[in-house]
Amino acid sequence: MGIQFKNVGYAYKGFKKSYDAIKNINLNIESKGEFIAIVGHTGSGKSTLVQHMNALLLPNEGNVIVFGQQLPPKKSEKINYLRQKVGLVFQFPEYQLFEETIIKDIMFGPKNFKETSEHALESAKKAASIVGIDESLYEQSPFRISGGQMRRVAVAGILAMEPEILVLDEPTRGLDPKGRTDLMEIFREIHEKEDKTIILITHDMDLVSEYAKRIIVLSEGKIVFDGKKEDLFAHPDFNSYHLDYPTPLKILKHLEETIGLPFVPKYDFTSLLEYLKGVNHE
Amino acid sequence: MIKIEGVSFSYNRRDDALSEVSLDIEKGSWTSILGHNGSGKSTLSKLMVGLLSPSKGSITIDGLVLNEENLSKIRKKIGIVFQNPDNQFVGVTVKHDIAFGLENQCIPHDEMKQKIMQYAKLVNMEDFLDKEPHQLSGGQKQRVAIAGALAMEQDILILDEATSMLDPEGTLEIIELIKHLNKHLNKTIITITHDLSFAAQSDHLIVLKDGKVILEGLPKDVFKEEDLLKSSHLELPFELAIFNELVRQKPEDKKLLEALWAYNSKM
Repeated sequence: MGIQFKNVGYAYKGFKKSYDAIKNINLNIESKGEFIAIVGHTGSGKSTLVQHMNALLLPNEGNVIVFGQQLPPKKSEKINYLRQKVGLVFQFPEYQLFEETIIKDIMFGPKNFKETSEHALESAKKAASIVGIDESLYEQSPFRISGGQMRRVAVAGILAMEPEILVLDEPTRGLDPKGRTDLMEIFREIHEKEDKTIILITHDMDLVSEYAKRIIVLSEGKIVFDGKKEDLFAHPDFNSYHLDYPTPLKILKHLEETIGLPFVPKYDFTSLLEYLKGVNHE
Repeated sequence: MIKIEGVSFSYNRRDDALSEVSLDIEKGSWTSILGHNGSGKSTLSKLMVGLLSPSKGSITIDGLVLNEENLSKIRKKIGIVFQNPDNQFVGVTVKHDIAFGLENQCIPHDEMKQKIMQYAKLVNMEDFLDKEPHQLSGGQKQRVAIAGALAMEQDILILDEATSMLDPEGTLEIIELIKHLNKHLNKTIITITHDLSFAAQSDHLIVLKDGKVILEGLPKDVFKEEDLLKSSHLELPFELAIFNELVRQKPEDKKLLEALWAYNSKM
């Protein structure tokens, strides 16, 4: 199950010319336990790719299969239910808040999927507690809280639909560093506790290095790398991907060049600190 | 260059968005004002350009007290660029956008043309003069906004979160531009930001928390106050946090610490 892409292509069509956003995409994403980062330049097709995952876009070429449902669907098939299975958090999702109160906004999704009000409320409360929105805020307007809180309310709105797979398009963009870490830790917890598959689009290689297990690199609409992060940063073609190294690796490279410290790849703060504490280079 | 004395401001007459802020910004410096969301940093920048007026205290810019009488003179000295490049693109094309301020000053046509070219070149946008905003990246739009502000030829430029909506590449473009303006054209630059890696590159830091100045000084010294920064919802950049942690846990390894500090200042 999960999500499969089979030779998928999608072109945006203009009046005279069409523009290939993604081409020849083959991909297999498990329904449980994955933490995938999708990276690539602006315009490399990241957002187009993930919009196929819950049928916001339908492929022009090839097929996408989401939880057994083939896309594009046969004429009579209704596919709205896929939007519940695969929850997509857009960039700056707080721009989409609109309800009078925070709790109503979070309930909006589940209610639309014809849940009873009681059940929708229950899901909304659960989602609010996961993202750390306190009960005392429920009846407040979503427009009278801070930007970081608005972002969490918007994320809770997706979580309340209890999606099987969570897709996040630049979820931390524009947040301050504290807000960024807090939000990423929420996603880490969801991933670890519920074994939920998370797909993260980001430009931030430090987030990739710290959180992702598998990395997909897109370049001009094609997948140029799909594999473990350890293999990506050591890949002989890495420079041709035009990606930045994450900070821990940059620091290690610098230390190797300046004081000859042996380069042992580390991907997050704690393991880099442990390594540097332990080295003895006198 | 800018002297702020005991300035308070309140949006609703109850809570102060800024309270009793005093600071000096030197001519030709690059100062960053750091703070969490809601710390009052944007309020401060709006006060400095006279978009808001203080409920208490005074602001002096290049010897002129900021009041209604001096406002038009002061606007000739200080310009501002905001966060969202899409909200401030007012022209149909790049060249019209840069021209907007100049047109308002009734500058002769030939001179205006020459100035548009000059400032488009300065921000590396001279090949895009006839492009429309949707054909530009965020970083390019932000550079156009800066060119428009520069065309007004003010000595002081405030950039309010000018990189927070940009990707890393766009951010680097803006940093390079700021350095050029500051070092080679002697502009006094004030950047408002919550990004410590970005702020680390400036000469002088001012940290705001809940409307008050809590720290001020050289980046190197300000970053030592990790707990105070954390309590203000500001996180040290990865490389500085590693450095501070090793200073604490492995102070004897001078060689490693020196190499790490060199990495930080290289950034």
